[in-house]
Amino acid sequence: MAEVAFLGICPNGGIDQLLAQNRTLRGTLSPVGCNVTVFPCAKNVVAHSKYKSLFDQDTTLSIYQWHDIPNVKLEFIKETFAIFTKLNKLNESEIDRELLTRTFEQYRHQINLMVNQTKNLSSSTFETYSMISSVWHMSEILFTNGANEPIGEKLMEWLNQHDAIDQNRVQLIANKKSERYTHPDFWPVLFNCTIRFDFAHAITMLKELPAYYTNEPNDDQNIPSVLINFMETIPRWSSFQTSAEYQSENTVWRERIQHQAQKLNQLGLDVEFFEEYLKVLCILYGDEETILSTSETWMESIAAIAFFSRPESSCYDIQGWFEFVEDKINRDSNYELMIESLLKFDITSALSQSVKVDGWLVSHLSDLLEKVIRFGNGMITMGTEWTEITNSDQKIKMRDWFLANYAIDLASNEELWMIALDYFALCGRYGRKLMETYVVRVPIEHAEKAIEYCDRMGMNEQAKSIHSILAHSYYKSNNYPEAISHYSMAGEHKRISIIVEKVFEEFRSTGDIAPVTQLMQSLPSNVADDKLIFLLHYCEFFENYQQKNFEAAAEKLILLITSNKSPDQFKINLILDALPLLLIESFVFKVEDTYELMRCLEDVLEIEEHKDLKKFELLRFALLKNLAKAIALNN
Amino acid sequence: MESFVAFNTKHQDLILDVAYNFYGNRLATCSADHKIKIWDSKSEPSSPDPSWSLSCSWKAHDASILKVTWGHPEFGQFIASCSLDRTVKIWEEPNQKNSNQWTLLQVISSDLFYVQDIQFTPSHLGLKLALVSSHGILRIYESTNVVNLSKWILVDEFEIFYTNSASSGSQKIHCLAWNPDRGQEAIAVGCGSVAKVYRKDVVGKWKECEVLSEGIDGASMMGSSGSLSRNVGGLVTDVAWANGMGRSYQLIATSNKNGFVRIYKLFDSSDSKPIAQPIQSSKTKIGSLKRQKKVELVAEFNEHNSEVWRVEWNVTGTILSSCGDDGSVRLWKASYLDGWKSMGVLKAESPPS
Repeated sequence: MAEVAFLGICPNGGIDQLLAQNRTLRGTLSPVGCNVTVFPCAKNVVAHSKYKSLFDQDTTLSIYQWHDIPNVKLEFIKETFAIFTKLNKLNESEIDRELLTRTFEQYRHQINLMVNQTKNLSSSTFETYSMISSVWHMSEILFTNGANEPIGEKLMEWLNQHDAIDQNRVQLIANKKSERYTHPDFWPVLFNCTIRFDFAHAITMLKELPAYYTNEPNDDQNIPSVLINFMETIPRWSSFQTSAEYQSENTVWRERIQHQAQKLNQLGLDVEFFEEYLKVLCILYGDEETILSTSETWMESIAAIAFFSRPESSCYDIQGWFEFVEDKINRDSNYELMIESLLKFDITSALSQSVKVDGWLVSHLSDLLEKVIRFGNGMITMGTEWTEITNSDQKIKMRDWFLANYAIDLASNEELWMIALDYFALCGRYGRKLMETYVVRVPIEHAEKAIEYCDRMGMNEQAKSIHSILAHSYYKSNNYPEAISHYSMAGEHKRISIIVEKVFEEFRSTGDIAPVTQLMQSLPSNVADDKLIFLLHYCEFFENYQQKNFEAAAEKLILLITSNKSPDQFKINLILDALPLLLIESFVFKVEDTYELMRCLEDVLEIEEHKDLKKFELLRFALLKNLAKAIALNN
Repeated sequence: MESFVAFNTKHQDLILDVAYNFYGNRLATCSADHKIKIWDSKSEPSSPDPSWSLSCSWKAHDASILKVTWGHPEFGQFIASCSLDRTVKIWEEPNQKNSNQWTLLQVISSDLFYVQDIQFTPSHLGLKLALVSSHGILRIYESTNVVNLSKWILVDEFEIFYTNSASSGSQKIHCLAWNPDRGQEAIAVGCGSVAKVYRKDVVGKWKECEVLSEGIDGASMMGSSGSLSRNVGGLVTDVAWANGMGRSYQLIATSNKNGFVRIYKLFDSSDSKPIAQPIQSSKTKIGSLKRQKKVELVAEFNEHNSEVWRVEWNVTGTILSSCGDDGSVRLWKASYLDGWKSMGVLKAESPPS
């Protein structure tokens, strides 16, 4: 986030006028996203009526998002997430130095793709990714290099890739039509190319000198030709099988340079560009004083010392050279401080600096470095103490903290919330808490996926909460079967009872059995509610009746009347349901059944409002007739 | 990468409060024009500029509406609002689309005083609404039916004893915040120059437990140089309780009229101090327990350098926002080693030319 963001919602005159008009500023944080809604507000609401002027800003909401994920970054996030997950889901025994080196390269490939894609975007985005690329490459060099492997060539490669020579300067000289060597920048650029091992440009420039094309190649006066020869024959560590071979060749080569320097000294100032030639020789020889005085940046100095002066140095030797370059480091530059920290193997400091640059960088770098320390078979022997640092209370590892904070920024994005949850899952106990917090806030459109995720990760409480939310949503849209299904999954049996009660009441008032049967058909088997069980049996009674299975219907009706599960207010319905069965020709109610029906009728008639209903007279008559018939049949 | 979008709500007077729903994809705004408006986010996936469209707008009260707050979606789409008309109203979104207003479920009237703050409980505590009025009575209402929200009954009521500093004048400010974590039911209340934490005891009575104060209550203190100390006029204007996130301690933030934003840590300790004397209320007899948790001030910011009116935590309790009369909204972020740093400042004015 920018340190200060100006919203431009203040009327002319600034803050004083805001206050004079009884205003202050309010902000409300979004629960999930990285945004805050800001608006002017009355300072004293009670006295607000005295201030009647209204400004446009007063009714405007300004929503400021401090972390936004542009579309161009989505692919990068997804690809690097795939690399991260693959690494973090391996067994410890499967992680070794080779794998970690490959992982570094895979990440770097994605970063470089991003650098290319952001070239035409805002300069700050491009710069950020260029910086990430540089820091990542440096980390890769330092932490995948063998502990005793010379580092010079790799540092030089890094330097030319990420801190490239200013091509404008080179071009300036190339554009000069004639006597380019007279350009005031000619020799500084040539020195720079030499220090940076950019011998192709250096050789081209040496060939511009009069001494080169006016003398024979083997002539002692043809110093440029000699320098070109040295450049073309410089021994490279990577070209030799063994250290001994390289040392032998390098010694010979350096002796030749020394010899040439002595010859040049003898020729003295008679040679045009004597001092310049000597400087080039000193650089090639690896004279540190010359390198330090000629380098334009401290990174150049370090790389050149590693390449020319101390070609057999390992990455651990570099920190001892910082006494020569400390005063050249720009302490206001996060980038330079990061590189310095990495070269010194002060990983804690490097990570602290990278936090200020980019969340992706610090999180993935800390993850990879932690594994390099644990599984890299001694790839790093210094700067390992940061993995033991945990914060005071929750004992969160630094790596978990950085990754979790990175994932928090992803959580509000519609395409990335699942990725965020998966990151949380790999961030220890702290990540687990974040996962539990965020999964319930996944937008309702993705609720089913969120539930699946909860089930997979054993987040029972969160799954229940999402089920409850879904259930209520279905309930409000009158989709009771779905509502009950989800409330059942949520363990909310009381709410199921409430819905059943509602359906029951609707049935009582309308007599329409269809919603009840629909509800019964879609009920999950584990739902146990008295009213529900009652309704289940009632539906069976109704079905039997419709299918003219009158004996079964009668049996079910008696069961309903005699069970404890019949709600009192429904008894009138039950007893009236008996009437058509009493009036059919076939005999379905036995003596005991008839007595039960009579008892039920008496209970119903106890209720004052029912005493005058004429239908009960018919029922009473039917019951008596059935009783007589039943007794006669018994006898 | 930052982005910024603004839209005119077309309220006819100042907006007094804005609240996001649980998912952050709906907004409720309330205003001095007596209206509430509901806004839905219409962003396409991955769109950098979420646009907001008006879903509903209606005249909700007969005076300025001070606050609006959303309930948990487990119980539906509903809000509560409080107003200078001395009522609190609970509204539910109607089933039919394109309705011109939300359904009024309940009106809670106060006799002489208006409600200054309202908040629904976290969902694991059921469906309750706490409200604190300008005369220092905290009431808790509960819905009798969590599926059908049309009936709410008063379940708890107690008086908050105001701790005042001398020069604060007659204005009394009350604010509240529920403990969002599972465990003991607790509520933090700003009352005067301190914030207090009330917890329910084993028999279900609310007891004052901890007091969050940086210094001596109620006194104005002149330093030796004659300058006012930070306790003067230090009315607590807002209180916010952070999600625990597995921490062994709780974090509560307060904003103060004397310009300070404070973060307190509450944690279990064996050496709790008892409060000296019981506090009696005319309405409900409540006593003070031994403080159950130890209170420690872990961060204090005065960068606003002016009255601070609002504090709010993000959902993970790692970012705190504060708003003040310096015309800025400030964000504070927890760092890895438990420190707090400024994350950024949003200023009302235009960028300097």
